[in-house]
Amino acid sequence: MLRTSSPPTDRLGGGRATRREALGGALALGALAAFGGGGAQAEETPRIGPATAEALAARGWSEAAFDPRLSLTLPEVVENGANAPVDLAMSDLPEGVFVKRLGLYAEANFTPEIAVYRFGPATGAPMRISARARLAESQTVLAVAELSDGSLLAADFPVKVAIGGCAG
Amino acid sequence: MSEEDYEIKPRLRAPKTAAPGERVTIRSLLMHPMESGRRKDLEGRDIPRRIIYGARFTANGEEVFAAELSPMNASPLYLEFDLTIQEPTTLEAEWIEDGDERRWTASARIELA
Repeated sequence: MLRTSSPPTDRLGGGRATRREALGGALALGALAAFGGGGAQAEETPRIGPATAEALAARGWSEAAFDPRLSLTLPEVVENGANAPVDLAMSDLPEGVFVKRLGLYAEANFTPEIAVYRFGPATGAPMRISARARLAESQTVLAVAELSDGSLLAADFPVKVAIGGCAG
Repeated sequence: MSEEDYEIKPRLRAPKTAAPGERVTIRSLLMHPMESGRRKDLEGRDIPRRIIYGARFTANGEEVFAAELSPMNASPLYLEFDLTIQEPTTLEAEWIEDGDERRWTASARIELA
């Protein structure tokens, strides 16, 4: 998993940089790192943001792979970020396999983990739920499903938020 | 329960009947403020946090769906899921607030068609 915090570096300044220049350089580098390294490495922008990555690691879900069988749907434009409808579904699972847990994440929210849902065989295959989330601003929402056979699947959805609504 | 809690009405909607093997949609709504604890009132005072952190749904006593919830869930608290019905089912929902002191419940019954 890519980390965005950038260690102090001496690559930018000879030993003669003023304190302000050195700080500015470090900040600029940090900003570049946040966008995936900048320059030639721009295409390596991680699809999962750092706060979400940390929350996923705490759940043991860092190895989740994007899979079209998991669907995450929101309105493309959410008028009111205080109440955004989120639809999640998963079908075409192997016989006897069901969704065991499902996490929902919004990187730009104060708390990236919106919810973690638990299922049983009667609700997890096929799985379909609907919930209402708070979204602070335009961002990409992520879902991770843990199946009963141990596999980890992810889906994401970019959403524009007209009026942010995290209630602070 | 305080007077204010009286307004926090739990609702659980399920079809009255279902055929064996039928998949039905269960809808739940709790009129709860889901106060994040990060807002201020008009006088600038902090509005205390008040969040439903857990919701749990059982069918004939067995858990079929549950949610761990952060303050990033909208008010009122809405959750909808699909459930496969095999037998006459008593569905029960429970919502638990921070501090575990206050909970709300609702139930619904699905007969076989």
